[in-house]
Amino acid sequence: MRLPSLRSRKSNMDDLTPGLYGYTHIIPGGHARIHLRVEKDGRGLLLINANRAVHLNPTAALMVWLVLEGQSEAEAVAYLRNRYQVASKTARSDFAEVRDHIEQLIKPDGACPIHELELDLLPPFSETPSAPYRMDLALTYRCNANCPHCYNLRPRNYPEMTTDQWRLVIDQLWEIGIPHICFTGGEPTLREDLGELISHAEAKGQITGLLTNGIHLSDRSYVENLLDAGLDHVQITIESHLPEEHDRMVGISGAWDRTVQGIRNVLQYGLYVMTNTTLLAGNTPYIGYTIDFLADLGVPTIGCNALIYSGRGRTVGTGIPEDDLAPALEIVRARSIQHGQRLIWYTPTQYCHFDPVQMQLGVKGCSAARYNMCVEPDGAVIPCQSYYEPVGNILLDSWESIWNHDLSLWLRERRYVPKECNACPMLKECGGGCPLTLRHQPQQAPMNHIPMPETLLET
Amino acid sequence: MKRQYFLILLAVSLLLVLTTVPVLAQTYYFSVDEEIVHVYLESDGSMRIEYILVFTNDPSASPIEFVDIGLPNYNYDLSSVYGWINNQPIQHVGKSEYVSPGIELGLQSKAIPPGATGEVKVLIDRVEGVLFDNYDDSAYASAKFSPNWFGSQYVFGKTDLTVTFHLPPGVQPDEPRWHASPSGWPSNQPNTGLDSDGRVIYIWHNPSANAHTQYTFGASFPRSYVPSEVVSKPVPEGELFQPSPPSGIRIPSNMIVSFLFFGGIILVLVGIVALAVNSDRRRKLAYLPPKLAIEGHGIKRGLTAIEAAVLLETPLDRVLTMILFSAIKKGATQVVSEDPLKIERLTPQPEKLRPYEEDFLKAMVDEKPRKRRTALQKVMVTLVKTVQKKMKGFSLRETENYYQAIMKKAWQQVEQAATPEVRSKLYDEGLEWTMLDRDFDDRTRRVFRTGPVFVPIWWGRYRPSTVSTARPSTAVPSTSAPGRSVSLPTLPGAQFAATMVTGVQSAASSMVSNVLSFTNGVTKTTNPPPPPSRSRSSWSSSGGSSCACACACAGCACACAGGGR
Repeated sequence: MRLPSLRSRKSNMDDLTPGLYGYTHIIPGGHARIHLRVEKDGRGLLLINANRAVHLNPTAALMVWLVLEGQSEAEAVAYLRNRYQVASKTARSDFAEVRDHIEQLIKPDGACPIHELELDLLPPFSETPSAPYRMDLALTYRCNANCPHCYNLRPRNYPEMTTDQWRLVIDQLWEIGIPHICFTGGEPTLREDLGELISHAEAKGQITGLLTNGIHLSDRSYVENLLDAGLDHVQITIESHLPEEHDRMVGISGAWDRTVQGIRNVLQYGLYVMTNTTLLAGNTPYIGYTIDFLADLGVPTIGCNALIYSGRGRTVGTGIPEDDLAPALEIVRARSIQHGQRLIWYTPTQYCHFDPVQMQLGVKGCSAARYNMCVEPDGAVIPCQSYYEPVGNILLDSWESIWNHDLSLWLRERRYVPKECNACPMLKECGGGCPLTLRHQPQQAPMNHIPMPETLLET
Repeated sequence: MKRQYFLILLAVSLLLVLTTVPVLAQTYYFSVDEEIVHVYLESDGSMRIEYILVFTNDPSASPIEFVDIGLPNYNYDLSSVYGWINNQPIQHVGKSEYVSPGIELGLQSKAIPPGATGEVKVLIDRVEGVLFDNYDDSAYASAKFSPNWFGSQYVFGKTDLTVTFHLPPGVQPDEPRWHASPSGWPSNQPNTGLDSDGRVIYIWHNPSANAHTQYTFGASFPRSYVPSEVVSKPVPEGELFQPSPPSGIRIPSNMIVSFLFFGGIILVLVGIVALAVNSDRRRKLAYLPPKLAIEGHGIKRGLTAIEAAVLLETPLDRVLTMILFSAIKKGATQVVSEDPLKIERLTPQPEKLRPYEEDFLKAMVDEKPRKRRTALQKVMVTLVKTVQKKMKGFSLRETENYYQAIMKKAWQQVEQAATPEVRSKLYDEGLEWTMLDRDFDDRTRRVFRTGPVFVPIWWGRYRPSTVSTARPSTAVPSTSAPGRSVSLPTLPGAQFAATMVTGVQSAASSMVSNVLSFTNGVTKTTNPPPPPSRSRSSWSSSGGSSCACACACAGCACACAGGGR
């Protein structure tokens, strides 16, 4: 059986060479975007819809490539036997299993990779890729909102690259092997060339997303332009179901009306739409109603995060301490389950204060300079959107020097983890929480550690 | 856990080196992508060493045909050394001709060709004479270990290096001491934990290590856990063993004990002949089975012993008994009739009863056997489904191992208790966990074969008739009454064990009369387990699968993507 309707972005059936391969898999009611990153040593990384990462040894990478290229079993076995010292029966059996796994992983209702496919399980954050999975492009630091808690540290008139320079950046990111781009800011819709850049990235084969306050999306024609450009997903920030609270939190009167209209507009199209809400002192008491409101709008996926201690966030004073997050998240989770919404929690926390795993929110740890980085308007690369310390310039410096910059390594290797955390069995998942919180909220020290197994005997 | 540095330690040094043989234009250039080393310090004072080395041979280099592994000393048994290449047994394992002391592994037809990756596993089952006195504390023994490193001209790239020390069985978590991590290591301290056998482990991990630096690791532990005669006096560093290098191999002066290298003069000649005969075959790469892996969280921590029992598929009658014991221990109920079993709720009710305990107590109120059985079945169905839900996104295998380890740890504490008082106390504390053991009955009998048992304070609520026959004593307090020192009665150990075992065996049948029928009534609802939740929409609307496991994937942990704006 062959996977149908695959469109290859890069194929050379003579041999599998290092690089990024992009595919689109048409499925009933939608499509799946698949990327295979092949490393110099032959190992591979399979990214499905930019949100599921499967690590492949060289043989698996080759087999996945053959599957995605639509090779039949006979063709694949012949290819494998020509390359490896392997019996026909073994090659056929192994290829069939890999093909079945890929088909299940691609299907939206496919088997669970952990329970049903029983893929090997690697500890969280144990793999060091050769480049992030996602790059955020902060096109501009200009903004049409004025959030008192905004994490942006830069002036609004920060120098910006030209459209051609951004095209070069996108080209460079494809060459590096980054399949997922998110346009952000500031407010990225203030750049008139946004649609053009989306088109350019889509033509390369990248998945594109937009992180916005949604104000410009209240213009339907603008939304259609972005859709025509090929935009895959959009995330709109909405802080409350209460117009006055939202407007207060974004610092602009009348913003709520336009943002909500923007949400309504994008929901009419086939975009993957989600909202994001920062849980702060002002909106958290009513968060359950906000979730209800978003459900009424038809938002299928809701995101939440805590205050980021960067920019104004360092001093705004409205952050919820990690110890107090659980009750709010309980409400959000219960309401999202009730409404059939998917909930995504973003913030890396210290698990001794707030454990997202036990709340079934997934493993959340700092992924800066590991799974994601950010390019600033002037081309500087920073470890994440909120960590304003450049590690190089994407157009001027080698990727090697950026990726292995001391700060990149410091974050990726979690050298910032407090010594109190070293005995904690959850350290691999937790990673000590957000480095920015550690720096700016020293009063929130980690507890010694989550109890060792033997102390369970006391419970 | 107490931690402190021990800077002055002498111990085993296992120093492995790669060198080349400058003949026949052999070129060695490779990366060690991953190196995992397990060092087991056994209770007899010996060391067991396990290596996993993942080599990637450079396309321009010679095939890797032999691997020589240096050993700490000559006190090893060659017949207990095993090797595997890509999970296939290595047939040729012998005393190394080039490394002394050391062993050689001939990869033969499974040599790692240029451009290919190969995984070499080595097990050295037993090396003696590896423990030394600790300078700082005479009550402690020390071991020190350096995994292999290579000449920097032969190796490229980073090495994901993990070294794990497994301390001798019985060493308690607060007893051992780690030595500071090597210079340049990401953390000054190792991670600590327990392995699947309940042994304390120190784990040093550096995903960005290199294979040309010598890293040294060490640990100390109370010498009482090993025979005194196996701990040697420290040897001054200058007097450490210096091997005689084989002719033609250059050995850096700081490499002390042993070496690892590929190829040899005679063997390379043989390799060339074989290459000529099978040139077509040799052009093909060695086949490694495909491996797909996903990042996720493995262990579901925080299950209660009763939930763990469900996870471990403990017989349901045993689980029922565990709930009964749990409720009795908490003071929520007491037995008023042993056969047929009748209980009554006590007032005031303790706080923080688990939902399954609350449901259980409600179900037991009904004295009509059929109604009671139906109600208890509902309790169990709910419990099983709760555990299934809690396990979403977590590794079943790793979680099972984790709770098995807790169970073993609980037994270990009981069995190693120095006095009957302590043994009774630990047995009481860990009862929920030891009951996970399939061998609970026999093990209880063995543990309490001799000596008195200090009956736990809750025992009277379970077997009032037994307590009435027990002798009073000046016993240790039960954990059921923390902080209180009360006089507890004792029973002969064998009698206590028999009562306990019989009670565990009979309690469930007293509750539901027909255990098999009861179990069937539960499993017909829970087996096969409910299918995992699946996404109902496609990428176009949901962005892919929304199985709970999707969020377990760290790759999905797009932390801070647009958050905080």
